[in-house]
Amino acid sequence: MAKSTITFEYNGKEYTLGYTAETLSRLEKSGFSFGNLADHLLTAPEEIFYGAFEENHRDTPRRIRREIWKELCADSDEGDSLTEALYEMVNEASKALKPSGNVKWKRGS
Amino acid sequence: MEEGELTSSSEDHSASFSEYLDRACVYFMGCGLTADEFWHGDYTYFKYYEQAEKERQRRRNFFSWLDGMYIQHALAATVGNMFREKGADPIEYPSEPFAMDADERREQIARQEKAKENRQAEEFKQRMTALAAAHNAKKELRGLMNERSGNGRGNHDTEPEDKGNE
Repeated sequence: MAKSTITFEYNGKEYTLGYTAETLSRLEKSGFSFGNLADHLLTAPEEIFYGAFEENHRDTPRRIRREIWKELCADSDEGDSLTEALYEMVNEASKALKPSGNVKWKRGS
Repeated sequence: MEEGELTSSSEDHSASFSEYLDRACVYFMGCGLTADEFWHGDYTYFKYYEQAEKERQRRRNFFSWLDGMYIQHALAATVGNMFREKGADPIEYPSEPFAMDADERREQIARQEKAKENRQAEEFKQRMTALAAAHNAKKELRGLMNERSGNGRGNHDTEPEDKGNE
């Protein structure tokens, strides 16, 4: 199964948004909380959207990311399906990064 | 050191998602992934590395068990033979490696049966050769005895005449 991505064109430029382990970690380090998604349901999709640029379009300024977000969410139906796709993308990544085996790990106390 | 199962952040509230990813990285590196592949690669392939590692573990486990089986046979064929009861057949070490699957086992059985047939045919041939040799020897002996008894009878027949003539 191929990795989920979001692709679109904005001002003549092709964008492919997605996540890797590193960009997920970076998203959390920037203040995003995976543990309490319910607490920030309104802001979470936007943060996930901005974070998804990190893999392929790191140089895109936050201002442009915000502009694109606003434009994509101008249509509420479009915005809802985008939010759904973003949650799905993060969910898929975090599932794939979760080891399914019963391999033991050790943590220094 | 604390030891336990690697759990997701939702199950392990003491660790942040990033800490959880650090541990997952170590885990997946143990499955053969490089750190770079883990942090920047396509995560949809990670499960294959994990499955491959499980397959390696399964094989290692099987071969360790197989080693134990060969050691057991070697002990039986050496130490076991030292203590076997009088008259009991000696324990032999397997003449060929254990079959790894049903096809190989079938081939092995066919090969062993063919070898047994060849051995029986060879034994039968040897027995027949020995019987033929014994028969020939007996025939030769009888011929000799007949010859001798024939000569002896001839002497007896002629002797009295000879004596009479004398």
